[in-house]
Amino acid sequence: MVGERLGERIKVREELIKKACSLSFKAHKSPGKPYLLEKVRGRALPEVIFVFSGSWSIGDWFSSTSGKAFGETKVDLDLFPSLRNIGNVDEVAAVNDAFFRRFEEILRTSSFENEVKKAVTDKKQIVFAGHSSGAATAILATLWFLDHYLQVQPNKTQTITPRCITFGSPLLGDRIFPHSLCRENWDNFFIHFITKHDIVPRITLSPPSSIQQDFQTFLSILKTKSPITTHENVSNFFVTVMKNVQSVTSHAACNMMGSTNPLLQTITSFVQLSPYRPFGTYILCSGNGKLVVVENSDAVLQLLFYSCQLKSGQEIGEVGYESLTEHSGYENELEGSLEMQNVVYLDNYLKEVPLSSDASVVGEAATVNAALNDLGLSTRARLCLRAAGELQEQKQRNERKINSNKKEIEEKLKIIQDYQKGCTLRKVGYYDTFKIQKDDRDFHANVRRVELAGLWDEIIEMLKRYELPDEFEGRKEWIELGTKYRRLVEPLDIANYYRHSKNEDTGPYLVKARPKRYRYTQRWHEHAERMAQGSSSESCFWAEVEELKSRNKPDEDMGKILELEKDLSAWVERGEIGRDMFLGESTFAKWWRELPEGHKRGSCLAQFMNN
Amino acid sequence: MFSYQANLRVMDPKMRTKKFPSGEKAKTRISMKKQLAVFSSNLQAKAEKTNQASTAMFSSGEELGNLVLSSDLLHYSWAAILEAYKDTTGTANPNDPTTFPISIKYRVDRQQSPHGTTIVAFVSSPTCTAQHFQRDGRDLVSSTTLFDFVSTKVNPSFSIHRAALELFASHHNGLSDLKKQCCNISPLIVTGHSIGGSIASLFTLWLLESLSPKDASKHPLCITFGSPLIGDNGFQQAISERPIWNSSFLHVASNQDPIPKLFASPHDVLNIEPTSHASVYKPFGTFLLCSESGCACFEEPESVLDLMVAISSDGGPNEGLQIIDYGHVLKRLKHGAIYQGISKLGIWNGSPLRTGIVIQIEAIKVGRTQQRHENGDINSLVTKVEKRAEDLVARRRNVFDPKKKLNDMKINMIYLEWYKKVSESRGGYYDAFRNIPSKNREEIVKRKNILTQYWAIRKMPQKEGTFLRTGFLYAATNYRRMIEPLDIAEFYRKDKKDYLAERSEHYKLLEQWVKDDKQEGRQSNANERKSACSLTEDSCFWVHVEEAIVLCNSLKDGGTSPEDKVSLMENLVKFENYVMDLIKNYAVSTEIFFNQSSFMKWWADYENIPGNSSHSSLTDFMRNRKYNQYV
Repeated sequence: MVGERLGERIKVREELIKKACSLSFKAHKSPGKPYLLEKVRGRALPEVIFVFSGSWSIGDWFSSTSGKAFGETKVDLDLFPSLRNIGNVDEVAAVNDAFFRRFEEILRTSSFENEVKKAVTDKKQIVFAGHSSGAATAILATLWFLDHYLQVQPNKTQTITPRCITFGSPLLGDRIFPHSLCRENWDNFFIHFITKHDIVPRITLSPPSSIQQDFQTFLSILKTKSPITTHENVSNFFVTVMKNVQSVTSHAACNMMGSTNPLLQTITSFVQLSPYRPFGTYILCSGNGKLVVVENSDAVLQLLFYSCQLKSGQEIGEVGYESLTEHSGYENELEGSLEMQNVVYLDNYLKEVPLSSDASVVGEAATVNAALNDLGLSTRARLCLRAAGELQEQKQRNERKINSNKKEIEEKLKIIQDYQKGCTLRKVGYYDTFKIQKDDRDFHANVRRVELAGLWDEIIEMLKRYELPDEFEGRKEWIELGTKYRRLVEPLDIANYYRHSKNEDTGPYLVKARPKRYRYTQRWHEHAERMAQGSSSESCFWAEVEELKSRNKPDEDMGKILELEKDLSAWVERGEIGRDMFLGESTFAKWWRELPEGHKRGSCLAQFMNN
Repeated sequence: MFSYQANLRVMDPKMRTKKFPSGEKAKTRISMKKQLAVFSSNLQAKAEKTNQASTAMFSSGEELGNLVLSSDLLHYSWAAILEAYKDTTGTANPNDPTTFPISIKYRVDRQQSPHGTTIVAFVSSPTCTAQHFQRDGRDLVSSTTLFDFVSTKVNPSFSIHRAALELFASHHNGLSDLKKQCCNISPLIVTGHSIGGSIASLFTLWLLESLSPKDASKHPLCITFGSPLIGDNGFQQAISERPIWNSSFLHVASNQDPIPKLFASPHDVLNIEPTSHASVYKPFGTFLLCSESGCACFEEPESVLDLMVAISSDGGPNEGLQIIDYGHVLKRLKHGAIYQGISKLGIWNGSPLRTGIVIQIEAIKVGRTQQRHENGDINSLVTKVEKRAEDLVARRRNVFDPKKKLNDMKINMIYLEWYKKVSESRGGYYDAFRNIPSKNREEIVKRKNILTQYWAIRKMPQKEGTFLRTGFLYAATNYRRMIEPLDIAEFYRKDKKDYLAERSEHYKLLEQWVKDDKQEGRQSNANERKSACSLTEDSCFWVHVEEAIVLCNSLKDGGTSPEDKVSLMENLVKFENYVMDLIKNYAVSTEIFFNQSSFMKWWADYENIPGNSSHSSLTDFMRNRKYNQYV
C-alpha cells in the first residue's frame, strides 16, 4: 500500500532510524572504540543501539590473505550455524573475509558480548546499526545474535527480536545469505538504506585487483573529508565498478529469465563473477525524497546496476562525482525523505512493472511508475524487475503444487502405518516381514514405498535447483511430515536394498546408496531441533546392523557395536523407534544372539532382549 | 496470446457476413451461442494449459550480450588477434596490403589474458581474403574426410564452404601440430578475424571432437569476428544436436561489416552468381550482433539470417570487401551498456518476450532511425523472431525431468519382481512365463510392454552428474536382466530357433552401455560377490540353456552321425564350462535350480545321455547336489 507510513510497515520507529543514522556517523569520529552503545527511551520497550564505526583502510575491506578473487571465505559455522543450506550440507555460505575478521575481533576482545547479554536480560529492544564498513560489522553482529540468542525454549519466554539498520552498507554475503535468512524468517530484521548513486553498496561486486588504487584514494578522501578534485580518476573508478556490476547483474538476469542458451554456461566458466548478493529489506532513496522499498533479493541486485545507468556520456563525470559524495549524505537525505513519506513498496508490483516510462497508468501504479522513473530505470531494467517477480511467482506456484501432493503423501503414509501395525503381530517384525516379501500385503507396501519415493524425490529435486521458496525448508509441517516419512519408510528401503543384495554391487547402504530424500529430511529435523549433524539417524540403524552382520567381525567392530546399542536404547526410550526389532526371529535379534556372551550380559539392550 | 488473436479474426467474418432469413435467426443465434460456448471453453482450456505450462517468457539476448561485453573476453581476444597481425606484417592493421608469405597465421597467447586463459588467434592476409571470396565463390562441398565426424544419425549429410575447407586442408600439418599442443589446455579460447574466423571455427570443431566426456565442462570457446558463414542447414543441425558443441561458438558481427552477411542473402553482393533460391548457408552457434551503441545475442539461425538481411538492406551500397577493425567497434561499445537504452515505448501492450526482442533489435539498429518500433516491416520481423524464440524455448523446456519417469518404471518393475517371486513354486519365472498360462499373464505382458517402450528409446544421459548416470545405468541393467528372459521365453514358446539373430536392438544397446561404462573405468566395484545375485547377470543365459536342450535332443536322436555327435558334445562341454563359470562367480540366481526349471530339465537329459562320462566341475557340482547350498 502506498499510503502506509514507512515506520509502521517495516516495524521500526522513524525516530529510531534517524537516531541510528546520526549515531552511525558519530561512531566514525571515534575509530578507536570498537562500538558505541546508547540507550533510547522507546514508546513500548526501552531500546539500546549498538553502533559500529567504519574503517578507512583498504585492508579492512578486502582481505589480502583470503586467496580468493573477491576476498571471500567460508563462514565459520561455530559463529553462524544457520548460514548454510541445510539439505545439501556441502553448501556453506561465503562471507567477505575482511569484514568477518573485524567483527570477530570485536567479539573476542571487547566487552561487546557482555553488553549484549545485559541488554537481553534487561529485556530491551536491541538495534545494531552502522554506516559504510561499520554497517558490515552491524550485519554480522545481528546474524551472530540471531543464532545465539534467539532460541524459543518452552520454559523461557521469547527473546525480543533485534533489528539491524544500515546506511550505505557494502554487500558481504553470497546467495546462501538470503536463502538461509528467508528460511529462518529473519530477513525482515535487516533494513538497509542506500542512496541512488552511492558507490559503496556496489563496490564488492568488483574484484579488488581492478579497483585497488582508486578505492584507496576514495577511502582516504572520506577519512579526511576533503573535497573531491581529480575528476578523471573519479570517472574511471565509476566506470570500472559499473562494468563489473554489469557483469554480475547481466549474468543474474540471464538466469532469472530462464535463458536456455548453452553459451551462458560456457561464458560463465571463463569469467570470474562476484559471489556477493543482497539480502533483507532495501530502501532506496531516489534522490528527490522518494523511498522505494524492495525485499526481493534478485530485484535489489538488478536495481543496484540499473539505478546507476546514465542517459548519455556527459553524465559520467557528474554521476561519478555523486557516487562518491552521496556516501556521506545519509543524514540529510533521510531527514527529508522520512518527512515526506513518499514511499513505494515495490514487491507486490514486480510482476506488473510498466515496461515503458511513459506508460499510461493510473492510481497506485502511477505512483510506482513515477518512482521508477526517478530511479532512472530503462525498459531493460523494468524487464529485469518483471523477471524477478516472475521467478518469485514461479517458486510460489511450485510450492502450491507440492502442497497439493501433501494429501497423497499422507494417505500413502497411513497405508504403510497400517501395514506396520499388521506386521507387529507376526514373529519377525516390520523390517523382516517386508524383507521376506511373502504376502500380497508386502507387495502392496512395496508399491506404496516406490510411489512415496517418487513424490519426495520431486520435492528434493526442486530444492536442489532452488525452485521452491526459501522458506520451504523451514516450514514446520513439512519437517514433521518428512520425519514421519523417514522413520516409517526408510527401514523398508533398507530392507529392499539388502534383500536384493545391492550391497554387493554398490557397497554399504549408508555410504553410497542412501537416497537424498532421507538425508534431507534428517537434516531438516536436526536443524529445527538444533541437534548435532548425524545424530538423528534412528531411521537407518538397520543398515548398520546389516553391515555388521555381513562383516561378522564382532571383535573389531566392538566400538561401533557399543555405540549402536547406546543409541538404540536411547531411541527406544524416546519412542522414536519401535520395539519389534527385539522379536525373536528378526534380523537384529538373530545377529545379536551371535555376539560374545560376555558382551551380551553387560549390554544395555539385555533387558529388551530377554523379554 | 498470438494464436488467440488469430482465432478471433477467423470467427469474426463468419459472424458478420452471414445473412439469414428472419425465421432462421433464432436457430442461428442458438447455434452461434453454442459455437461461442464451445469456442470460449476451448480457449479457457488452452489458456489454462498455457498458464500451467509456461510462465511469462523473456528474451535474454541483450543481457547475454552485455555479459560478454563487460567480461572483457572480446577485448582480450581482439588483442590477441592484433598481436597475430603484428607478428606477420609488423603492424597491427588488418587492412595492411603488405602480403605476407603464408595465408593463415596463428598465435598462441598467454600473457595478456585474464587469469591464465590461453588464446589461439587466426588471421589471414587481405589478399587471401579477397581471393577467398572473389575467386573461389560460395559453393559448398558435401563430403569431406576431415570433418566426417560431424555427421550424426539424424543429420548424416551436411556441406561446408569449399574455399574454407580447402584453406584448412592446405594447412593441415601445421594445424595438426597445433591441435596436439592445444588438446589439454584449459581454459582455452580460439579466435579469428574474418577468414581466420572460419578457420578458427573449423579448428574448434576438431578440438571438440577429441574431447573426452570427462572433460566436457572444460571445453574451448570459439570467438570469431566478422567471419562469413561456413555451413549449411545440415551442418547447423548436426552441431546443435550436441549441446557442448553448440555452446562453444560465439560469432561477433558488426552491422557495418559486409562479410558475415555475404552468404546470408540469396543475392551475392559481389554479383558473381546470382542464385534464385533462398540462401543455403545457415548460421550456427550464437551470434553477437553489434552496432555503435549496443549489441545483443541471437541464437535461432533463421532469426540471425533475417536480421542480417534486414541490416544489409539498410546500409548503402557496399564498395568491395572492406575489412572492419573490431577494435574500434569494441571501444565504442565499452561504455555502451552503462547507458540506458530506450525507456519510452508509448502505448505498449507487448509481452515481456516481445519487449525484450524489440529492445534487442533496437540495440543493433536495424532499419531507419526514426520510430523504429512503429514501422510495419520491423513489426513483422519482431513477430517472426518472437515466434521462433518461443518455439526454441518450448522445445528445450520439454526435455526435462527424467527422474520422474524412471520412478514410474520402478513401480512396473516391482510388479514383475512380484511375478518372479510368485513363480518360484512353478519352477522359476522363466519357465512359468514360457509354459504355464495364468491369469496374471495379461497384466505382466502389459507392464512388460510399458517398460520396453520406455527403455527402447532412451539415450544415455551425458551431461548429468555421475549420480544420475549410475542410477540410470543400474535401472537399465535391472530392466534388461528382468525382462529379456521373458522375451526369450516368449520366443522359444513359439518354437522358434536362434534368438540371438533376432535379438532386439535396444537390448544390445543397453548391454553396450554397461561395457562402455566399464571401459571408462567409472565402475569402481570389481568386488567379488559373496552370495548369489537375485537376477542372473547374463540376460541371455536362457538362450544358451535352450540351445543346450536342443543339442541334447539331437544327441539322443538316433539319426545323427558320429562326427556330428562329437561336435555336439563339444558344444555341450562349452556350455558346461560357461555355466560353471557363472556359478563360481555367483552370477546366476538361485531360481535356475528350481525343480521344474529348464536348466534342471536339461541336466536330467544330459546326465542320462549314454556315453556321457565327463567329470567336469559342473557335473560334480550337480551330481553332488551342491546347488542346494548355493545361496
